[in-house]
Amino acid sequence: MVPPNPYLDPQNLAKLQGLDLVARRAVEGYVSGLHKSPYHGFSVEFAEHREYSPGDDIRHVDWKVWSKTDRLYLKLYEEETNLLTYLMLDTSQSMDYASEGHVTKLHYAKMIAACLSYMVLHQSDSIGLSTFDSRVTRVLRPSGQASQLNEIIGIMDRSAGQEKTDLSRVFHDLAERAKRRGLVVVLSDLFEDPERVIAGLKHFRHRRHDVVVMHILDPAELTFPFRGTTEFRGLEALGNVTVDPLSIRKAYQEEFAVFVESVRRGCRVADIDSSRPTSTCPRPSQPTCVPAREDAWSVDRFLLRLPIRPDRP
Amino acid sequence: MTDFAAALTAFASPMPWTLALGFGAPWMLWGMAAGSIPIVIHLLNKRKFRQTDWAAMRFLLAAIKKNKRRIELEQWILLAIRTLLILLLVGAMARPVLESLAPAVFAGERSHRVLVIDGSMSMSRKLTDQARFDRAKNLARQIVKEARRGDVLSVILMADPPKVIVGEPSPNLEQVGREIDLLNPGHTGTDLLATFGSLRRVLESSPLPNKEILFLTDLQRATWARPGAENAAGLKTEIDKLNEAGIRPVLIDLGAAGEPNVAVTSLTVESPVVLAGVPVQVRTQVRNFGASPRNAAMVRMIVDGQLGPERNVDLPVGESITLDFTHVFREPGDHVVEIVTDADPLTPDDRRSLVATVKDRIRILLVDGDLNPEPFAAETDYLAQALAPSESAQPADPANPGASDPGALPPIALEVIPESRFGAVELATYDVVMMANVSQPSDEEAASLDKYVRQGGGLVVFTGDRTVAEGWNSRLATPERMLLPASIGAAVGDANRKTGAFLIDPLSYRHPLVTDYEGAVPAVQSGLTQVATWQYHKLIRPTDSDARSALAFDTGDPAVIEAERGRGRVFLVATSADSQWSTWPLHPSYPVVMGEMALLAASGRTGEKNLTVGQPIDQAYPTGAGSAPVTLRSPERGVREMALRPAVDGSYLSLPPQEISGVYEAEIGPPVSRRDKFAVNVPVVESDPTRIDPAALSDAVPGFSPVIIQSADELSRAAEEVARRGEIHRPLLLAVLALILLETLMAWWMGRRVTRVSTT
Repeated sequence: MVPPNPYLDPQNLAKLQGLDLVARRAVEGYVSGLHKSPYHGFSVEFAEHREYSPGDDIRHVDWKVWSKTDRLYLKLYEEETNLLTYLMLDTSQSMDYASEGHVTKLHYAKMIAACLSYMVLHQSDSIGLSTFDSRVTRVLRPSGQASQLNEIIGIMDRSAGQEKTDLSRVFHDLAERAKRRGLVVVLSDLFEDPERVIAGLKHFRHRRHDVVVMHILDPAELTFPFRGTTEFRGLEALGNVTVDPLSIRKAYQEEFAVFVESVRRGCRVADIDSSRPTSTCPRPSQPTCVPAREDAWSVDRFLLRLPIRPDRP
Repeated sequence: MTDFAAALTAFASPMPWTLALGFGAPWMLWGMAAGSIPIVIHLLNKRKFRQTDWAAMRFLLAAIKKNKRRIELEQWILLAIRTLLILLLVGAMARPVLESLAPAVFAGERSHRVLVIDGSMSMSRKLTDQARFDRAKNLARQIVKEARRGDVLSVILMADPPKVIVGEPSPNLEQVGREIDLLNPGHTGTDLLATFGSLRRVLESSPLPNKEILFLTDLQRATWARPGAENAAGLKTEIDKLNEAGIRPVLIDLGAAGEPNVAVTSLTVESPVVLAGVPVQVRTQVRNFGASPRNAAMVRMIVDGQLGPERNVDLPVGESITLDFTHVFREPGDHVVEIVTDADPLTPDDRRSLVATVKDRIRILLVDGDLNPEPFAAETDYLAQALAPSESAQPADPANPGASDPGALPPIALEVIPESRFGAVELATYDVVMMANVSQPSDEEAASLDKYVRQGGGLVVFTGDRTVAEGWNSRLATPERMLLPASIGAAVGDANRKTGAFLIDPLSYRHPLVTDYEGAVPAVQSGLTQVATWQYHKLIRPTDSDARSALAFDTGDPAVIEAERGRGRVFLVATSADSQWSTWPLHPSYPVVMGEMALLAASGRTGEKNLTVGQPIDQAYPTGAGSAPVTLRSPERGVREMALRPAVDGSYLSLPPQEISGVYEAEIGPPVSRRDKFAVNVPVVESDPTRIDPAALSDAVPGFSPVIIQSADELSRAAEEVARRGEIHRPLLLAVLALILLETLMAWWMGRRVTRVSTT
């Protein structure tokens, strides 16, 4: 039973039924058929102890500890799965922007993250989450446990857009942390110098991760639909500017298009999957968000662009 | 209108362009302040703006940095377009007039516009609501009112003579309008040559290179097709000058074809001298100038304001009917005879006046060069008997000429004096002086005779055996003083032998002296033609003399020559007044012809009382009159006080040419104490409503080919068009429209230049 959650909409989840997230390349570890493993035999690694609570499987009680301490601890193992997915969520201030009638980019990113998490966990793979702004703020190691979804959502709930971005540094940092090869999903507006961004992303590739960049943008950032003299208050302490939007629209769009194209080209060169969902999900009046079906960038359509195999045999 | 527009374009002269603007509604220019509205809005916009957070700031800043100059330029251009748009709109509403720009485009240089208004009598015709002249005035006022600022105007009234109403080109349109308001149509004809002369002088008085002429006329034939051979050359010269100056006049045709008119065209008294108590025949002619017959037209005579006899006549188209009325004037003095017909739209010619100066009798002085107390031995005895049969050829009593009843007096009062007394006589008291066989006048006598005749006296000179031809010729037939109709030559024939008589040739009875004999029975005519003359003086007419032979001898030499000298009339008879040289005194024609001769000679004293409009009143009075006060009653101006103008040879009542027909009455105060009347009548030609075909105008007036505007609609359009030339609010409004489109396009272009960022 999926709890009511602002990021997980029942309809979205329903659409995810029957979809599987697959890695394009070989994944590490044992998989019972779904992923092709480069290793042979089991490789179950002890992870930590946890206090026993009623309902836990007594097979995992660490009797040695019980004998020494007279307390029941469960022996938790790092489950070796065939797919590790690292969600990397940009929670910088720029992600907190929403044009009129839309949700913020951060919210949209969280929705995507939640959907992905659900889907990954649903197919018994592991997923972790890192949030960052100018630095890495939270890291949740990948896990395939059912509670992982709640963990992820809990972290996302506590993440609000603030601080400036320093993507390059953060990506290098995160690349160092994600030791095991897996699928790295970056959810960010990437508002930084594209070259530095790509350099950071290449680090993941260097660590032989599959990288998917979800370049999350607000529709207004593409269309610049403002009219009348407007004072733009820059997020991330970039200052304010008052301008007639009509007069600058074209130039802005050119600049922005160059940026988007640079990211796209950089990703392609670095063999990074990139897609550019725009946060066109209407601002929810209900606790749940229902992306419009005809919307080109609704969550489900976005997900379809992921390396997903829809018809799992 | 195409022609008119072409003409307007043709007005423009190839002068260097100078730009000057005038405004039809200058107060609208206050609206120019609205031009600041876009600037204010622009400034307000800068202060008043929306705020929004923005994530993609780095791209916005980069775009601004790269495009700062372009954005500013575009904004300035847009601002300029919007400001210009408002300024042009307000400017168009102020109805600007471009005084001078490309002539081919606007044809609107500042110009000197001359209005030539036809002021002839035919313009007095009443139309349905107003007189034609008033219509011309209204149109002229409209043209003046709608003239552009900076234009100067002149106004000329076509008449005879023409009047320059506003000669000095006036920029004061109100003043010109007032002058036009004061215009009244005269009863004169038109002097086309003088009008064009005035026009040229008025045009020359303005330095403005662009000149326009507007004629407002009814295109009456009498006005435009009557230049006369002697004027045609001068007229051609004037018009050629206009054409050389590149001015093509516009003629606004106010006339209409086929208008009716009945006019009294002639009024005369069929007697050279009207005598009190003697019945006279008043002859008048009434003519139908219209295109349809006029039946039962009433013609009535009015004498001294009292209604006289009345006739009804049928007037076929184009026909004149002659009517005779008989009237007996009881009192001597000036009497006014008027013939009136039914009123029609053209009233001035429905009435014609005549002043008949009625004399109690004609005073004749007989100067005898061969006075002899024996009956019929003196030179003038036959003459006296012929002129005044009831009076014997006795010297009259000059001390008491009118003591008895005037009606009983003979109509001719004679006084016979010998040649020797002639120098002492005051000639002015006589109507006619007859000199028979007088040897020669002295210098003083010649001078006083000359003055006497020129002031209206009549002179009859008979030659004879005592006549010293050289004495007469040297004093009264010289180029300096040509009083006699001819010089007296050598005697022809021999009276002593009485052989080889010369008979009289009546010259077809053309002269008024003998017109009574025309058509008479041969027995009566023989009373004249069978007169035998044995001797006569050959009379030699100078070349280009205006003297007329009344009778001639069968040799071809003149027997009686007549000439008008000044206001008087002179007869010169080649033979003697008695029977010494001729048998004429014995013939029955003698008293008739002599009586007629006396009357004709005396008629000079009355002839100047009947004038046509355009002729001056110029009446002479004896020297003693001095500056006698005059009370003048004129038909249009009421009573005026003035004085006689004293001169060396007498006093004169001189009035400028009259423009209004009617009876003028001058009451001369002491010492003259006389009442003179003058009848001023309209020119007959003006009664003819026949119009000249506009196409034939250039034939009638060579070289004159104005643009002719005819219909009423065209007329008002033309007036508007004339006034509207040079207005540029239409081009301005077009520019406003173009700017609106430009602004929209530019704003759209600036807003629409969106690079579609691919969303795929």
